[in-house]
Amino acid sequence: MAQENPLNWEKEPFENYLDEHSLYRGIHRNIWIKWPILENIQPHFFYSDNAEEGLSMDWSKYSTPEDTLKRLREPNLETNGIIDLNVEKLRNCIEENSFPLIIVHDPIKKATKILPINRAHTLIHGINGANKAKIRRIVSKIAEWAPEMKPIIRQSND
Amino acid sequence: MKKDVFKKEPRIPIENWQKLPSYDWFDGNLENLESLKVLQIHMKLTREYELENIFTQNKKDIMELSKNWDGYGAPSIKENTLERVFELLKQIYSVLWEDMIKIPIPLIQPVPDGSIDINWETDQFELLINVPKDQNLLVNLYGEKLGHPQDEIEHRSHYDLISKVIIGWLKKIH
Repeated sequence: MAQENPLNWEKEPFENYLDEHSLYRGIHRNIWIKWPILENIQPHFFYSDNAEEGLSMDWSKYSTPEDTLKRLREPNLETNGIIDLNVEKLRNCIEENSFPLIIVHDPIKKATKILPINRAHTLIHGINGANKAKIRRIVSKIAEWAPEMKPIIRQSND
Repeated sequence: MKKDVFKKEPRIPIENWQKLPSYDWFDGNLENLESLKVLQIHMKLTREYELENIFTQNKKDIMELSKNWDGYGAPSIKENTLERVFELLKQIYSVLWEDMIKIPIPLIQPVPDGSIDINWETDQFELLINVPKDQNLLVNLYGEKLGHPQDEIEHRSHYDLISKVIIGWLKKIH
């Protein structure tokens, strides 16, 4: 089968994000290593230094959690876990709280120094300094580790 | 009928007085009141010591985070941001302890934009306070008393004014 040309990838509308779909994001050890309970996802996972320009996620239509892990610089579960945000829960959460969040498909057609090509790449817009406490608190409640993608904590002998 | 507030309630004969369990320590001896004061000071010092220990451990962990600590380019956390977090918590606890209100120590969590979260998740309430890396940016907080949606709080204000808001809310929901 001929490989698809990434330059032909089109941005898809939000309607194509179905309820059963997920958004994935790799979460580094430095975020979760001090959590009292690993299953209790903490609000500081849902932000980045450039979150106000859009928080990067991967859309399950074009990515598995394993793919998301492989795209990370350190693709192992001792360093990164993969968070799963269900689209239906996220949509409900946005509607119930009138959050100004917008989900935009943003396929990366050309690799950069930091990001590889990625058809699943999606940005969540609308989070900022004025609303980030409430949004992160509430979104963290619907977040869970993707199946088989919960990080592994190695006991230190120190 | 209007209640006569000056009317004395009938006295209960002394032989019928009941000891209240929470006041068992007090037998009418004033020395015990002094003991209580000493106990209160001792508890406050113990808690301050616990708080300092937690600050020291958090400082060590957070200051060790080098640039790109989240894998997405996060900046290091500035010591000054951490100091503002500790100062804010000291202000909050000094008032709460004075009023004998006991609230567990929150989690202190670095955020990938260089800010810091102060995060309480208890059986009674949840409160997330985000202290920004830049002193000129506003502190943003969100809190809710579980099962009491009317006590939800979302607030944004300057660092110097935020402790009053937090203390007021914590006292209200306690």
